[in-house]
Amino acid sequence: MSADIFPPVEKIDEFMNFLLQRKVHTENIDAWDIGGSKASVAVYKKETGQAFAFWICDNECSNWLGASLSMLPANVAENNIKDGELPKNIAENLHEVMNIGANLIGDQSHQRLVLAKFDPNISISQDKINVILKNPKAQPFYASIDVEGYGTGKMAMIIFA
Amino acid sequence: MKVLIVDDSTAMRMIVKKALRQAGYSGLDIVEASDGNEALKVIEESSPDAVLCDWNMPNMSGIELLGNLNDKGLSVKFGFITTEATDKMKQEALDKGSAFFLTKPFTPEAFEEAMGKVLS
Repeated sequence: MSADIFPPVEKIDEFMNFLLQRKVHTENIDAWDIGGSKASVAVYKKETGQAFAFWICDNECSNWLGASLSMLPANVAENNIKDGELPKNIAENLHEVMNIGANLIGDQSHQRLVLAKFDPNISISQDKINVILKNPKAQPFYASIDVEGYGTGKMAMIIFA
Repeated sequence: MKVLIVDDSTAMRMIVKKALRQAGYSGLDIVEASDGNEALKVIEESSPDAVLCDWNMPNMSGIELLGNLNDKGLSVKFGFITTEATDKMKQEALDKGSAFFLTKPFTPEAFEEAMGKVLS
């Protein structure tokens, strides 16, 4: 398993700092239960059309990233999180973050990637995640992301390398 | 100096505006459009000095906009700020007269260098 296919946390921080124009702190964490609550999922494909990576953000992470991109008040995101929701405007912002994320993931893995699919705030069964992870090429990476002035959420990347 | 920022993402237009301020371009008259159609209308009506444009947008893409400007003989300094960037796209942009092709996320240095080509 080669861990260097994943962007280092410092690079994720730098990427988020650029986009959100505020400090972001990313940390590696243990595997979390993706199927436990709603999450937003981005699927990245290579130019050949082959799926290469998933980027998954839990509802908290989705709201913090989406809200902070256009400087929506933190309490708006906080209320969404309490209700388990991700409004359209915040989902659109998250879509933009994950779209540009193609370059974050692609640069590190030396692949030209495009965002092929974006599903905001969906329920994913842990069984489905487990099936994906059983693929011998699937390598997971779990992290927490703290967005200054907003809050902390969890994310995961699964790369097929 | 009037600058037109074209991007279907409101947040990204805001980021470009902020990047311009941070790069020291504080006295610009900034106008915005959310796709190529809207941008074409703005260019025809108010003749901006420079256009900073996304590539992938609904209705009319950035490269279609640049092609339309060329077809209509409308001369304006033009540069792409985009997420997708293949060599083919870059070449097509340059062939059609784009002054730069900046990929998101960009560094302040890369942004300043690109802006120097259209805002000097």
